[in-house]
Amino acid sequence: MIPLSTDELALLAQSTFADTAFLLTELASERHGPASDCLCAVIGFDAEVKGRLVLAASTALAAQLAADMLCVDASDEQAVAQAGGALAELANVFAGVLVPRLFGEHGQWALGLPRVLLADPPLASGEEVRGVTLVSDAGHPIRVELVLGEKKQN
Amino acid sequence: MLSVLIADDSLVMRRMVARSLELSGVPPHELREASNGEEALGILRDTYVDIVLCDLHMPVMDGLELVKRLGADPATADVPVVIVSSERSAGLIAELEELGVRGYLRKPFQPEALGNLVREVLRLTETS
Repeated sequence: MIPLSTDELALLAQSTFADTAFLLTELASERHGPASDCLCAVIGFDAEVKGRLVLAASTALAAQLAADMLCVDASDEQAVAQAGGALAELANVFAGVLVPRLFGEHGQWALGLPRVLLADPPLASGEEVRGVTLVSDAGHPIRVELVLGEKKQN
Repeated sequence: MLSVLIADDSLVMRRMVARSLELSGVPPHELREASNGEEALGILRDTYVDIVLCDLHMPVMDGLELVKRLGADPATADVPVVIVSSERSAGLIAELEELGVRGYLRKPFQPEALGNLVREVLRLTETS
Protein backbone atom coordinates (compact mmCIF):
# COMPACT_ATOMS: atom_id res chain seq x y z
CA MET A 1 0.00 0.00 0.00
CA ILE A 2 1.28 3.46 -0.89
CA PRO A 3 1.48 5.68 2.21
CA LEU A 4 -1.05 8.52 2.40
CA SER A 5 -0.81 11.39 4.85
CA THR A 6 -3.84 12.97 6.44
CA ASP A 7 -3.01 16.20 4.63
CA GLU A 8 -3.03 14.38 1.31
CA LEU A 9 -6.32 12.69 2.17
CA ALA A 10 -7.78 16.13 2.81
CA LEU A 11 -6.41 17.57 -0.45
CA LEU A 12 -7.72 14.66 -2.52
CA ALA A 13 -11.14 14.97 -0.88
CA GLN A 14 -11.26 18.72 -1.41
CA SER A 15 -10.42 18.53 -5.10
CA THR A 16 -12.82 15.63 -5.73
CA PHE A 17 -15.68 17.30 -3.88
CA ALA A 18 -15.17 20.50 -5.86
CA ASP A 19 -14.94 18.70 -9.21
CA THR A 20 -17.87 16.36 -8.56
CA ALA A 21 -20.36 18.41 -6.64
CA PHE A 22 -19.18 22.03 -6.70
CA LEU A 23 -18.58 21.61 -2.95
CA LEU A 24 -15.87 23.99 -1.76
CA THR A 25 -14.31 23.02 1.56
CA GLU A 26 -11.43 23.78 3.85
CA LEU A 27 -9.91 21.90 6.76
CA ALA A 28 -11.89 22.32 9.97
CA SER A 29 -10.02 24.37 12.52
CA GLU A 30 -11.74 22.62 15.40
CA ARG A 31 -13.01 19.13 16.06
CA HIS A 32 -16.66 18.76 15.07
CA GLY A 33 -18.73 16.04 16.67
CA PRO A 34 -21.17 14.08 14.51
CA ALA A 35 -24.31 16.02 13.62
CA SER A 36 -27.49 14.78 15.29
CA ASP A 37 -29.11 14.26 11.90
CA CYS A 38 -26.05 12.72 10.26
CA LEU A 39 -26.05 10.70 7.03
CA CYS A 40 -23.13 8.37 6.33
CA ALA A 41 -22.25 7.17 2.85
CA VAL A 42 -20.10 4.05 3.02
CA ILE A 43 -18.31 2.30 0.17
CA GLY A 44 -16.19 -0.78 0.71
CA PHE A 45 -13.13 -1.87 -1.22
CA ASP A 46 -11.13 -5.03 -1.48
CA ALA A 47 -7.39 -4.88 -2.13
CA GLU A 48 -4.35 -6.15 -0.25
CA VAL A 49 -6.38 -4.99 2.74
CA LYS A 50 -10.14 -4.70 2.96
CA GLY A 51 -11.47 -1.34 3.94
CA ARG A 52 -14.07 1.31 3.44
CA LEU A 53 -14.46 5.00 2.83
CA VAL A 54 -17.01 6.85 4.94
CA LEU A 55 -18.39 10.33 4.28
CA ALA A 56 -20.49 11.69 7.11
CA ALA A 57 -22.46 14.91 6.75
CA SER A 58 -25.60 16.53 8.09
CA THR A 59 -28.78 16.03 6.11
CA ALA A 60 -28.70 19.77 5.43
CA LEU A 61 -25.31 19.53 3.73
CA ALA A 62 -26.33 16.37 1.87
CA ALA A 63 -29.48 18.12 0.60
CA GLN A 64 -27.38 21.09 -0.51
CA LEU A 65 -25.07 18.67 -2.34
CA ALA A 66 -28.04 17.09 -4.08
CA ALA A 67 -29.40 20.52 -4.97
CA ASP A 68 -26.09 21.60 -6.48
CA MET A 69 -25.69 18.35 -8.40
CA LEU A 70 -29.28 18.44 -9.68
CA CYS A 71 -29.25 22.21 -10.27
CA VAL A 72 -32.33 22.82 -8.13
CA ASP A 73 -32.95 24.82 -4.97
CA ALA A 74 -31.95 23.17 -1.68
CA SER A 75 -35.55 23.37 -0.51
CA ASP A 76 -36.77 21.55 -3.62
CA GLU A 77 -38.31 18.20 -2.67
CA GLN A 78 -36.05 16.47 -5.20
CA ALA A 79 -32.96 17.74 -3.36
CA VAL A 80 -34.31 16.55 -0.02
CA ALA A 81 -35.25 13.16 -1.47
CA GLN A 82 -31.86 12.70 -3.13
CA ALA A 83 -29.71 13.88 -0.21
CA GLY A 84 -28.48 10.37 0.57
CA GLY A 85 -28.03 9.54 -3.09
CA ALA A 86 -25.88 12.61 -3.63
CA LEU A 87 -23.65 11.78 -0.66
CA ALA A 88 -23.38 8.18 -1.88
CA GLU A 89 -22.36 9.29 -5.37
CA LEU A 90 -19.76 11.63 -3.90
CA ALA A 91 -18.36 8.70 -1.87
CA ASN A 92 -18.38 6.53 -4.99
CA VAL A 93 -16.42 9.05 -7.02
CA PHE A 94 -13.98 9.76 -4.20
CA ALA A 95 -13.37 6.04 -3.68
CA GLY A 96 -12.54 5.84 -7.39
CA VAL A 97 -9.85 8.46 -6.83
CA LEU A 98 -8.59 7.29 -3.44
CA VAL A 99 -8.32 3.52 -3.85
CA PRO A 100 -6.04 3.65 -6.95
CA ARG A 101 -3.94 6.22 -5.09
CA LEU A 102 -3.56 3.75 -2.20
CA PHE A 103 -3.05 0.53 -4.13
CA GLY A 104 -1.77 1.74 -7.51
CA GLU A 105 -3.52 2.42 -10.82
CA HIS A 106 -2.52 -1.05 -11.99
CA GLY A 107 -2.99 -2.75 -8.63
CA GLN A 108 -5.51 -5.42 -7.76
CA TRP A 109 -8.53 -3.88 -6.12
CA ALA A 110 -12.29 -3.70 -6.45
CA LEU A 111 -14.89 -1.22 -5.26
CA GLY A 112 -18.25 -2.12 -3.78
CA LEU A 113 -21.52 -0.28 -4.15
CA PRO A 114 -22.11 2.73 -1.91
CA ARG A 115 -24.66 2.50 0.92
CA VAL A 116 -26.24 5.23 2.99
CA LEU A 117 -26.57 4.72 6.75
CA LEU A 118 -27.81 6.86 9.60
CA ALA A 119 -24.66 6.25 11.65
CA ASP A 120 -21.02 5.48 11.13
CA PRO A 121 -20.58 1.67 11.19
CA PRO A 122 -18.57 0.52 14.25
CA LEU A 123 -14.95 -0.45 13.85
CA ALA A 124 -14.14 -4.14 13.74
CA SER A 125 -11.18 -5.65 15.53
CA GLY A 126 -7.92 -4.76 13.80
CA GLU A 127 -9.35 -1.86 11.80
CA GLU A 128 -7.71 1.54 11.92
CA VAL A 129 -9.08 4.91 10.87
CA ARG A 130 -7.53 7.92 9.19
CA GLY A 131 -9.87 10.83 9.05
CA VAL A 132 -10.20 14.50 8.40
CA THR A 133 -13.03 16.93 8.90
CA LEU A 134 -13.65 19.51 6.21
CA VAL A 135 -16.01 22.45 6.40
CA SER A 136 -18.09 23.68 3.49
CA ASP A 137 -18.12 27.34 2.52
CA ALA A 138 -21.53 27.50 4.22
CA GLY A 139 -20.00 26.19 7.46
CA HIS A 140 -21.29 22.60 7.37
CA PRO A 141 -18.77 19.93 8.42
CA ILE A 142 -18.19 16.79 6.37
CA ARG A 143 -16.16 14.01 7.91
CA VAL A 144 -13.97 11.87 5.65
CA GLU A 145 -12.77 8.56 7.08
CA LEU A 146 -10.61 5.90 5.52
CA VAL A 147 -10.98 2.64 7.44
CA LEU A 148 -8.34 0.00 6.79
CA GLY A 149 -8.43 -3.60 7.97
CA GLU A 150 -5.52 -5.91 8.57
CA LYS A 151 -3.35 -6.98 5.67
CA LYS A 152 -4.54 -10.21 4.07
CA GLN A 153 -2.50 -13.36 4.56
CA ASN A 154 -1.00 -14.76 1.34
CA MET B 1 -31.27 15.03 -33.15
CA LEU B 2 -29.39 13.06 -30.54
CA SER B 3 -30.98 10.23 -28.60
CA VAL B 4 -29.14 9.10 -25.50
CA LEU B 5 -29.60 6.37 -22.94
CA ILE B 6 -27.95 7.03 -19.57
CA ALA B 7 -27.56 3.94 -17.39
CA ASP B 8 -26.48 4.69 -13.83
CA ASP B 9 -27.93 3.58 -10.50
CA SER B 10 -27.52 7.10 -9.14
CA LEU B 11 -30.34 9.41 -10.17
CA VAL B 12 -28.13 12.34 -9.20
CA MET B 13 -25.41 11.17 -11.58
CA ARG B 14 -27.90 10.55 -14.40
CA ARG B 15 -29.03 14.15 -14.08
CA MET B 16 -25.45 15.39 -13.92
CA VAL B 17 -24.55 13.48 -17.07
CA ALA B 18 -27.61 14.85 -18.86
CA ARG B 19 -26.79 18.37 -17.74
CA SER B 20 -23.18 17.95 -18.81
CA LEU B 21 -24.37 17.05 -22.31
CA GLU B 22 -26.44 20.23 -22.42
CA LEU B 23 -23.61 22.38 -21.07
CA SER B 24 -21.13 20.95 -23.56
CA GLY B 25 -23.29 21.64 -26.57
CA VAL B 26 -24.62 18.16 -27.32
CA PRO B 27 -28.09 18.30 -25.73
CA PRO B 28 -30.06 15.10 -26.22
CA HIS B 29 -33.25 15.45 -28.21
CA GLU B 30 -34.46 12.25 -26.62
CA LEU B 31 -33.19 11.12 -23.23
CA ARG B 32 -33.82 7.68 -21.74
CA GLU B 33 -32.69 6.63 -18.29
CA ALA B 34 -32.03 3.26 -16.72
CA SER B 35 -30.92 2.51 -13.17
CA ASN B 36 -29.18 -0.76 -14.05
CA GLY B 37 -28.07 -2.86 -17.00
CA GLU B 38 -31.25 -4.92 -17.11
CA GLU B 39 -33.42 -1.83 -17.44
CA ALA B 40 -31.09 -0.53 -20.12
CA LEU B 41 -31.36 -3.78 -22.09
CA GLY B 42 -35.16 -3.59 -21.88
CA ILE B 43 -35.13 -0.06 -23.30
CA LEU B 44 -32.68 -0.95 -26.05
CA ARG B 45 -34.78 -3.89 -27.22
CA ASP B 46 -37.59 -1.50 -28.11
CA THR B 47 -35.91 1.83 -28.71
CA TYR B 48 -33.19 3.13 -31.00
CA VAL B 49 -30.60 5.35 -29.35
CA ASP B 50 -27.54 6.99 -30.85
CA ILE B 51 -25.34 6.31 -27.84
CA VAL B 52 -25.39 4.65 -24.41
CA LEU B 53 -23.60 6.37 -21.51
CA CYS B 54 -23.15 3.71 -18.90
CA ASP B 55 -21.84 3.36 -15.35
CA LEU B 56 -20.02 0.16 -14.42
CA HIS B 57 -21.01 -0.50 -10.83
CA MET B 58 -24.75 -0.99 -10.76
CA PRO B 59 -26.96 -3.45 -8.91
CA VAL B 60 -28.99 -6.16 -10.70
CA MET B 61 -26.84 -6.04 -13.85
CA ASP B 62 -23.59 -4.11 -13.99
CA GLY B 63 -22.13 -2.23 -16.92
CA LEU B 64 -19.71 -4.97 -17.94
CA GLU B 65 -22.52 -7.50 -18.26
CA LEU B 66 -24.61 -4.98 -20.18
CA VAL B 67 -21.79 -4.45 -22.67
CA LYS B 68 -21.42 -8.21 -23.13
CA ARG B 69 -25.17 -8.68 -23.70
CA LEU B 70 -25.34 -5.81 -26.17
CA GLY B 71 -22.41 -7.17 -28.12
CA ALA B 72 -23.88 -10.67 -28.24
CA ASP B 73 -27.14 -9.51 -29.81
CA PRO B 74 -26.91 -8.52 -33.50
CA ALA B 75 -29.74 -6.05 -32.95
CA THR B 76 -27.71 -4.07 -30.41
CA ALA B 77 -24.11 -4.92 -31.24
CA ASP B 78 -23.57 -1.67 -33.14
CA VAL B 79 -24.97 0.64 -30.49
CA PRO B 80 -22.01 2.75 -29.30
CA VAL B 81 -21.36 2.51 -25.58
CA VAL B 82 -19.31 4.96 -23.56
CA ILE B 83 -18.47 4.08 -19.97
CA VAL B 84 -18.73 6.87 -17.39
CA SER B 85 -17.42 5.51 -14.14
CA SER B 86 -15.22 6.05 -11.11
CA GLU B 87 -13.65 2.65 -11.79
CA ARG B 88 -9.97 2.88 -12.75
CA SER B 89 -8.91 -0.75 -12.96
CA ALA B 90 -6.64 -1.05 -16.00
CA GLY B 91 -7.57 -4.73 -16.47
CA LEU B 92 -11.27 -3.96 -16.55
CA ILE B 93 -10.82 -1.05 -18.94
CA ALA B 94 -8.79 -3.29 -21.28
CA GLU B 95 -11.55 -5.91 -21.16
CA LEU B 96 -14.15 -3.28 -22.00
CA GLU B 97 -12.09 -2.09 -24.96
CA GLU B 98 -11.85 -5.67 -26.24
CA LEU B 99 -15.62 -5.93 -25.95
CA GLY B 100 -15.99 -2.92 -28.23
CA VAL B 101 -16.68 -0.08 -25.81
CA ARG B 102 -16.12 3.15 -27.76
CA GLY B 103 -14.96 5.39 -24.95
CA TYR B 104 -14.19 5.66 -21.28
CA LEU B 105 -14.62 8.70 -19.05
CA ARG B 106 -13.56 8.74 -15.43
CA LYS B 107 -15.61 10.47 -12.78
CA PRO B 108 -15.25 13.22 -11.79
CA PHE B 109 -15.31 14.74 -15.25
CA GLN B 110 -15.73 18.16 -16.79
CA PRO B 111 -18.79 18.64 -19.03
CA GLU B 112 -16.59 19.50 -22.03
CA ALA B 113 -14.78 16.17 -21.69
CA LEU B 114 -18.06 14.30 -21.95
CA GLY B 115 -19.26 16.42 -24.86
CA ASN B 116 -15.99 15.97 -26.74
CA LEU B 117 -16.06 12.22 -26.21
CA VAL B 118 -19.66 11.91 -27.40
CA ARG B 119 -18.89 13.97 -30.51
CA GLU B 120 -15.80 11.88 -31.24
CA VAL B 121 -17.64 8.56 -30.80
CA LEU B 122 -20.60 9.57 -32.94
CA ARG B 123 -18.36 10.86 -35.71
CA LEU B 124 -16.45 7.55 -35.63
CA THR B 125 -19.71 5.68 -35.75
CA GLU B 126 -20.98 7.66 -38.72
CA THR B 127 -17.86 6.96 -40.75
CA SER B 128 -17.41 3.30 -39.78
